[in-house]
Amino acid sequence: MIKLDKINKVFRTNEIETHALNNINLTVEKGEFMSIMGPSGCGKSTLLNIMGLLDKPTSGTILLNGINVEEMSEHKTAELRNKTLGFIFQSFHLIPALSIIDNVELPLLYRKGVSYKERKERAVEALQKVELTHRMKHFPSQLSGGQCQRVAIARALIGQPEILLADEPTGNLDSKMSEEIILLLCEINRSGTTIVMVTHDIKMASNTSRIINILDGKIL
Amino acid sequence: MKHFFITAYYNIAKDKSYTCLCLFGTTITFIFIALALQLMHICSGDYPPMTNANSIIRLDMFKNTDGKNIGGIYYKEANAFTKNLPDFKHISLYHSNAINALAKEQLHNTDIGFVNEEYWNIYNYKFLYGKPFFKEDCINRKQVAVMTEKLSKTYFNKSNGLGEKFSFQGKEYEVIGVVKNVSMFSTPTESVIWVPYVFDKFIPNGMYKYTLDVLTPPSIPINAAKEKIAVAVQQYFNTKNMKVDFFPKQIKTLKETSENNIPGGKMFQYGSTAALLMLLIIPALNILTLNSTNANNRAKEIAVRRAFGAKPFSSFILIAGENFLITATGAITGVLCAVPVMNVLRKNIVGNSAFMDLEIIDHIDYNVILCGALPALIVFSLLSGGLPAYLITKRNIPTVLKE
Repeated sequence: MIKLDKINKVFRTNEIETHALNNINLTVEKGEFMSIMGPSGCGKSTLLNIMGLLDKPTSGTILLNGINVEEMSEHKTAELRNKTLGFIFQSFHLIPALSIIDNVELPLLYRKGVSYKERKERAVEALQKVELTHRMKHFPSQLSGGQCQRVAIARALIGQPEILLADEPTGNLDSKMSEEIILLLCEINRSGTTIVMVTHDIKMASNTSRIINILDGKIL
Repeated sequence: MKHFFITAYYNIAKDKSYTCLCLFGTTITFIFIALALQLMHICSGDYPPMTNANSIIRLDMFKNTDGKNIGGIYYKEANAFTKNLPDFKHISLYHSNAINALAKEQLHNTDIGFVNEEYWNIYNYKFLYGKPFFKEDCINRKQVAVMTEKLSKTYFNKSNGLGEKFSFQGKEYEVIGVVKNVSMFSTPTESVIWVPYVFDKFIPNGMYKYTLDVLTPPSIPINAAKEKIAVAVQQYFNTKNMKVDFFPKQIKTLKETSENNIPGGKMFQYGSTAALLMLLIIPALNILTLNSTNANNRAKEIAVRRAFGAKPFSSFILIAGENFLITATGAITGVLCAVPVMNVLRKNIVGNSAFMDLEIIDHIDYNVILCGALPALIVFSLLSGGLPAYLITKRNIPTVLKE
């Protein structure tokens, strides 16, 4: 599904070079629920961003469903992100100007051939999965942290992505909420979606099928 | 589209101070852009009543070969002189005097023009009410007058002063025509009221001569016309045993003269364009800094949209379009406010000067504004809003989301 080959990522600021990722080789199989663990600053989020085509590696190859994305234009990667990938962020990153339903349908706005009616129907469907249909007319500021993250999950799911990338999805939530979210993710995974999740929390990671540990930009 | 307007409305309403500053800045900018465009158009010399400016040759004061002033065409010989120019059908006689006119029991100091009927054929004054006076009116010494709308308001408290009467130098005149106001930058004379030349007593200025404006017909090339006119003037002064220094090369049309009279001549137009650009760029840069802050506040939203598949162009349109909504509103307000602002400026700047009866800008020609202000709006909007939007869409998504 995703194959990373000799991935390196170097951040350069003036004269300082930080090697965030060192020669990473990793394969994510279809249907897998993988968690990436490691201390702060070890490069796990950088790895997730590269897997999600949000960032480019300094060197190395990324194969997504067998397609080398290295030479792809920004236009093409945007299309690929829209159709194949879904994102869940630690800080939810919902758009405050938009209602819950409008936030959820966001990925479909950038997909050709999806009508207004279909967008709305699919957004309601996605909200049903996270049990938030009663809140669809509300705005993010009116929701709790856990509810916001469920909205973010609905947004990530609406485009029916093959891979869901979650960057510390429970990082901003209390333990009860975190449990709810991880159970939801497990359910999503059971329905066939591949999930890669970055987390600090071993308890959360223990719910996944594979745990990858990273230290100083290397897989242990 | 609905998403765009919802987001735009939210952001515009959320940052009211930013929106107000942008609107205010753009409005002020476009007031001056509209005025500058209009002024440039008026000064171009093709603006009513000067639409024939490039075919009109003015004969006023002359000098002899020693450089001494030898006066103009003597008033009693003016009609005879026009017969020396048989190929020229339209020759106007004009002489002005400052008079005290009595209207509605009030005295008004006004510059009055004594003109013949040809004046109305040469200059394209737009008659709002009534008609000009004709040859018969002059011959029959009809005490009639034509005035501008503004003067009609001053004299009679109404735009349509037809049939109203005023008097000066012991004679009463009836208003038979009211013309549209003229700009001081596009007028053949300073007069705003005209009566038949036959009533001219040449007092108080005592200059017994007429200014002649000759409209060269399209059938005669302008250089040939200049030669014919030069010969006629030379013959006129030869009969008086005077050697006039007046040759075709010295003769200029009113348009050429106005270009020469404007400081910097043709450079004025380049200068005005440069000034207009500066007028556009400086506030655009100010609003650019405001927009950069606003766009930075929205960097996260753009990054999220891009993460979910928004292409750089659609992200650009989102921010730049929002800015366009504000600047377009400001620009329209600015254009609509241009004339009232001009009136306030006119009252305070030229209110008591010799030009008090003339307008600086008589009206806003919306075709000119549309052709000039619309491209200016696009440039302004792209400069002030497009640049920050472009920079935002170029930022690294994870970096923005981490901030």
